[in-house]
Amino acid sequence: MTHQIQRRDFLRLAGGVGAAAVIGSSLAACAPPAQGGGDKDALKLGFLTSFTGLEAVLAAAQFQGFELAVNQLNESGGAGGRTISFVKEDDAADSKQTIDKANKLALSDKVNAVVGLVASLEREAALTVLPKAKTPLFYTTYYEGSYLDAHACDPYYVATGQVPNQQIDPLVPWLSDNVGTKYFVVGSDYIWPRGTSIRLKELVDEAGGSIAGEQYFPFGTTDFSQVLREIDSSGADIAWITLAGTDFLTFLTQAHQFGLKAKLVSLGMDDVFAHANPDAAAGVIASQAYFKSIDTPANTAFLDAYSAAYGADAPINAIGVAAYNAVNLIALAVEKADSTDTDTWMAEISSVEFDSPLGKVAVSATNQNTTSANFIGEVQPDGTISILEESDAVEPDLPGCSL
Amino acid sequence: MRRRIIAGVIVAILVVALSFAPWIIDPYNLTLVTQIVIFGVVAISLQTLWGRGGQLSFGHAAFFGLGAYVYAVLTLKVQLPAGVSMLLAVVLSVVVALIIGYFLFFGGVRGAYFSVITLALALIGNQVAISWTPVTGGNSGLLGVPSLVIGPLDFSGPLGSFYLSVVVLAVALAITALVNYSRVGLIFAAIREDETRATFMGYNTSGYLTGLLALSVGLAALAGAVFAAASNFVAPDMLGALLSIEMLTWVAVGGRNYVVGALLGVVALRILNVQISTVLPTSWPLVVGLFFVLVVLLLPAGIVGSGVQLARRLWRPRAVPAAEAGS
Amino acid sequence: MDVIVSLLLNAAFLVSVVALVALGLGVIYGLLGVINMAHGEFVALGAYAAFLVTSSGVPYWLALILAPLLGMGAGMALQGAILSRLVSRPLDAILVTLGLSLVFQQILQAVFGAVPRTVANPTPGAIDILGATFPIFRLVAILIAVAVIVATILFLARSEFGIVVRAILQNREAASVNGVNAARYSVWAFGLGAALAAIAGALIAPSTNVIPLMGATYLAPAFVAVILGGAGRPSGVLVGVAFMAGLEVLLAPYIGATVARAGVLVLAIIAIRLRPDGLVREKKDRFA
Repeated sequence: MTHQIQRRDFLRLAGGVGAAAVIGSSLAACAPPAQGGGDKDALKLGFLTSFTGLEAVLAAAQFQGFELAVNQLNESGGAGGRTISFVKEDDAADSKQTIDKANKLALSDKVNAVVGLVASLEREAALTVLPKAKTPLFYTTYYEGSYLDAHACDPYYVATGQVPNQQIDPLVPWLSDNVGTKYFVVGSDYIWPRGTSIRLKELVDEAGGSIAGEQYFPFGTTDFSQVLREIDSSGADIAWITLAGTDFLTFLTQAHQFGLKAKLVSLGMDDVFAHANPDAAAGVIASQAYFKSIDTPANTAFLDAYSAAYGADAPINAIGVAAYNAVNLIALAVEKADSTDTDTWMAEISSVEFDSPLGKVAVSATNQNTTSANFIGEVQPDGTISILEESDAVEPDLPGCSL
Repeated sequence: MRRRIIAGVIVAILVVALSFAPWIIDPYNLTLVTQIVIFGVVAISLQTLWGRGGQLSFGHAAFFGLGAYVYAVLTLKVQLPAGVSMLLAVVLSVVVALIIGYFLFFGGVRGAYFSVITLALALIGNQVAISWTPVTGGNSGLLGVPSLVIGPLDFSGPLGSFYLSVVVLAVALAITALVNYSRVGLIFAAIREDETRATFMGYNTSGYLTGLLALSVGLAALAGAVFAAASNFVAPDMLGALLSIEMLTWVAVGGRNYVVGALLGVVALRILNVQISTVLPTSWPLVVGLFFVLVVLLLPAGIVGSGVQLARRLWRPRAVPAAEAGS
Repeated sequence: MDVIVSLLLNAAFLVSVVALVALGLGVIYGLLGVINMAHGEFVALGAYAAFLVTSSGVPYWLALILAPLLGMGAGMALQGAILSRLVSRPLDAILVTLGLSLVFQQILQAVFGAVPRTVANPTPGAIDILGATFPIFRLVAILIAVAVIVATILFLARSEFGIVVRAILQNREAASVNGVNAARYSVWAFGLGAALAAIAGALIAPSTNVIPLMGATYLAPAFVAVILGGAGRPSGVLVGVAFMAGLEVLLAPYIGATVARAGVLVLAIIAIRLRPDGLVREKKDRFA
């Protein structure tokens, strides 16, 4: 008796064969690929940030700042004659994925340096693997410095974003003079909001002010109605917001809807968030190393190039400019050392200086963070930020760090 | 009997082949293989519960994560020795499973209700991991978790982690083989086929199911603790819904009725992950979802299951008795 | 006083939105026995529909028509094309919806991007209710949600569609022997369930950000509410929702939001265990 193969069987067979084929080719392709990262004539960078997930709103500007620098450098001959290529990966603002991707960039793609990251937890995670792999990390986002034992002190770590003494110290006295001294702190529950709050409290004490309330929320909180009510009933002059990414946007929307009376102040407010929701962001006080509205020849030239590449409407913020600066600093160091050997060019990193859109930038030899000026601004109803106060460049202060 | 021999041979080949891996594979890919092996243990644990016992767990990552976090917290915060912490991680998880099993199975909860509750448990675990920051590290997780060192046995570093995971895989395979090919395994199969009948035959089905859950959870928790020791960190993502679903895909794609199927599923999908994420960095969940849907629709028995079915049809053509015609 | 009022109002807002989602889920589960793990994505679909409407300059209120239409279409396609093949395999059906939820999320992300989207508030401003400040839009949303829920319950109880649905629920085979095309009604019922979820999404959109993964927040409470309430009985579902979402919002200020959610889930599990047929005792011969 012959066995008739029915159509159902055929479909199953086809499906199985198809699946096996896919798996087989994947297994075959799994053989370790030839690595090109060791080519002495090229500089290979890794770019890692939260393209999806909590900080997705900031990813585009950060990446575009990075990419613009790479393209401009390549057009003018590269880093001392070396073409710059890059690999980009998504860490979804998640510890596990950051570690996985950082490992991949360092060990599999064998990049010369990793640039990027937004949330401090990404930085903490990446720093558990990158120094071990002797791959320097260039972190481009303002953060909490060394408060709360944050890992910010390592020969293989450079930060081009602000630390609290650069971003918060100018802000609190200005607020005392112009807004008030009673604060209510609302932040996301991780190291950046908690760490920056410590510096805030020190400064508020000095100014003779007070903190009426302090609440931290896990990522993905969708409803802030209760804390909004509490801010109002506490009578605070200032709502100090260190919520991250999407949660920050949600809070702004709801604060706007509820008609919050306190003045909104945030270390996280910048041109990107203002552009995302101008109605909700209007009136918020921001403190950054860079605003789009900075009026200098260097910034005008930068914005011309940026808008030519990404459109006149594309926002850019301090994080994006810091990424731009990081790439340029790396290129200058590589050029000066005339080598892509990590330890050789990293030795030059604190001796080079770059004329950036936000002023002269140099890496401190003590802690490998960068000098930075500061701007205080207020978001206008049309989404632009008008600058209210400017302070001079200061050295980054990371207590307990000396390299 | 023949099945046991085939299975045993496959497993032996697998373990031997794995032992040679460090000589062939570079350190980066070795960590990937280590991950695959650890996930293989989880897949086996899930297959045991689902394929053997017929209970579908939507939140198995919760137990994996529980083992990982307990190990991390005990070694980092309570500063217990690593070996003790790993043991306690497994014991604690088994106790939790026994409580859950007693509460649910003895209460008559089965099938879809059980599945949804396991999902709720995964969500609860996720919430606890995210909000209990002083203990669990919150959204950031815990970094710098120590590797496993028991006296002279040092399992730290990529090589040590790899061998630890192989040892654990071998242990998991041994335990599941013992259970599956014993009388208890037959009872589980009976419960899966028709629980009412099994009850009428005098078996305390709730008790057996609770025991099965404990076994499954214990293995998953062990895998979690090993993962924490091998990668030196824990994060809420390890308890997440996506990981739970991925675990289901491993078993569904590979074949829910065969241990080998579960392992094949892990290997196939993890390798696929690495390949695809270079081309489509952010769309991995899409692939998992599509794969899952297609497999459940077209190949419900998974690759190994369908392969076995096909093999049976092609190599033993004979008059099909009426009772078998429906398979 | 204003604290209590504020709490109650916010609870009412969240409860009414989750109730819409849960009602849709309950219709699907009660009728088809399918636990639709992709239900959250219908919510997200509705929210993105609102985004599409407002970002094209069209008044927001049109979203309340577009969202359910899109939801209904997606739901009917899902049931008709895929789930109908799994009628005899309910566990596999759940698995398929699980996979599809991932696929939908990715499609939404591919189409709209991972960056959060905002939907402009159509009724800006807040009013003072007994000392508590409450956004006007949330009030409007509550009213709309309640109206839709009442309409749906009446529809299911009184219309021919509802009667047939009840018949299928009670005895599928007997219904089809009597000439009812159970498959076609299943498709429509799924569409209805999805449409309800989509409306919820459109209603919540102006108060929050629209991201591809947003559906997940509403899925768990809706699920547990449905199971607590007993399969497919709208009144039970509403009790379940009130229990879940209401308890969570009321507890949150005192013990923290995530602890509240975890605690409520635990309570729900206990409730399911103790009363597997639902919190509300079933009355014979009454479907409402």
